[in-house]
Amino acid sequence: MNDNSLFQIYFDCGLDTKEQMYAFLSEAGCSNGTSRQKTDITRQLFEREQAGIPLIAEHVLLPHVESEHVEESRIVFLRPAKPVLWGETSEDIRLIIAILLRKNEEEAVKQKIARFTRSLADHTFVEELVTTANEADFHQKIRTFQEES
Amino acid sequence: MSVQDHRKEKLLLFLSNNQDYVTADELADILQTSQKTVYRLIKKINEESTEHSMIVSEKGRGYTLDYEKFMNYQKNIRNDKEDNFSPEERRKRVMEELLLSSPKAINIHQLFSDYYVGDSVIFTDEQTMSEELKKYDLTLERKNRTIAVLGEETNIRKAMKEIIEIFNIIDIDDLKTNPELNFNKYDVLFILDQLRNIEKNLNITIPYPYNINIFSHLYILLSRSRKSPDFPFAGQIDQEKTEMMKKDADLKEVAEVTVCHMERYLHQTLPDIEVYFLYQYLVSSRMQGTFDVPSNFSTGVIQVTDVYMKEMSARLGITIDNQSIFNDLANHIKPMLNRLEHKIRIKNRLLGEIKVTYEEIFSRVKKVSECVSETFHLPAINDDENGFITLYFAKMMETSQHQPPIQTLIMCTTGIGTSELLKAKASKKFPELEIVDVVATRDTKSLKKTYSDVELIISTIHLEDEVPVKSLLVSAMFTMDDQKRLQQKIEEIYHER
Repeated sequence: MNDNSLFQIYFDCGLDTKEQMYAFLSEAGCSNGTSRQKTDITRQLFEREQAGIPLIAEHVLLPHVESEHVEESRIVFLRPAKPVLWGETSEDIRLIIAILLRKNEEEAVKQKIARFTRSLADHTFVEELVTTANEADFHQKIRTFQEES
Repeated sequence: MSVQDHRKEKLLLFLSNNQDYVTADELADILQTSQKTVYRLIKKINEESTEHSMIVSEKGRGYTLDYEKFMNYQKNIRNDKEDNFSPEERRKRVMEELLLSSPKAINIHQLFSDYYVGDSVIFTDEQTMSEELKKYDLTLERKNRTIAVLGEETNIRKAMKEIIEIFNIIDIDDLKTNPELNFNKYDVLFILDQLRNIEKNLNITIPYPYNINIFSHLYILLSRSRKSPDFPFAGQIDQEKTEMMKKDADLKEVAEVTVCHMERYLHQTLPDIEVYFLYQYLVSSRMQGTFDVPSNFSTGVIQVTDVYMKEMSARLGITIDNQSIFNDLANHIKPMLNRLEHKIRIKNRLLGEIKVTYEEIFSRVKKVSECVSETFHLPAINDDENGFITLYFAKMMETSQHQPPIQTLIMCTTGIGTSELLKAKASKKFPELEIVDVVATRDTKSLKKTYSDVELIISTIHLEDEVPVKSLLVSAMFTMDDQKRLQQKIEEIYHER
């Protein structure tokens, strides 16, 4: 699922801080770009957070950026091996669902992403994503979503 | 009920309807009493309840109800009641027995033997019951050591329905399974079956409380027929009654079939007038299904409904212009007019709660009802009915059906991230919003042009540019707090419209 798919899953990844996470995401969004382009995406992620923390459920963040540097629009799942302390005010984060949107993306892709975001309104679905202990199960849940939608 | 008991009930009801803390000042206002009385009342309630501190206080915030303790407390009260009979309950039970056996006389000592009371108590009970029965034009006759209730059959049935409390509190789904109700199980199953048949034959459903009403009627008929098979009847079906039943041939046929089933079940012939009795109950019931079509409303129903709609919108200062609300209400008014005509009263077990929760609407409905009775020369519309009507308007106010939906935009950085999620959550919880679009923040400047009708913007990020309409910043989690603030915003918008 991690090749050309819209969904990218990184389970049990060894990322310990917010900075590491954001750097990882910008790498995922623009692997062939210059370091300046990557920094730009990181900056956008930080800016987005300052405007309002995108916490969508306990322990779950949904950061999202739209940038011309993003090579291909993606929904990236990061499940850190250990919960990450996210600044002073917010709680430990166990799941990050990042939306990296390419600027002027075609409508069909946008719709697909929007459909996925709406599915996050379902508490149980989000909770399952946070608590699933097994990587294969996690993949399966995302696959089921894809098949159903 | 004493003034204090009444206040106590009102206070608990008010607190149970409020999630937040309420100050003593507000409570004093609601109970129309002094703060001191409120303090005393709360202290007393907390002392009396076996669960200590059912009402919790916090400095600076006021009082709130510990809901779990409150539920327990209510359960306990109910249990207490089952064990001992208060004088009022004793009289009710005795009256029930007498009414069921009427016109047969029953030996006094046998009648009171379960309650261990002396002659003087029995004497007072007799007088009180006699007073109570007068309301239904019935008399209590004492001969030697026996008493009997005498009067017309319709009045006896009416008295039974009002006096036998259980009919006012049962839930139709509860009947089959609740052993505490003390009904004859076979009778219950049989009658439920009749109700189902009625529904099936007419291709409708009979909602609460009408189903209970018909259930009670049939149950009373069974009990009466067994206790005194030869009870005399007030009258036969005369020409006028036959004519009336022609109005709705379907209902008449169903009534006949049902009475026929009852006869077979009882192994006993029932007089023809029973068909007419049941027919009356059927025309006085609200039915959902094929009967809902608007064309079925008579001019009378339409006129009365119109008066309620017009008067209530004037009194509440709102515009009600909605066909579905009209149909809903007319569907209630239609059987209500039949009930008024046939003097059938349905008890509204929510009345106390309705009066407290929707005090203003209730008092206005009452006024309009008075005006309706006068204009259309109808009998007085009682509070039970007013309570039901209040619910229609309360429902409309609560769901803001009288207001056009608020055109809303949802915004986040990309327009497909948190905002899409928020859209899903908000549209589920706030039907009063019409979410016209989900947009990205970069579009803020062109908003006014593209969405000229938008009244509210909900955003998950701080809006730096000034927006020309009301906006609300919420978290992507859409917490309870966010929802509360959104509710306030909605009210603000309604207010300014």
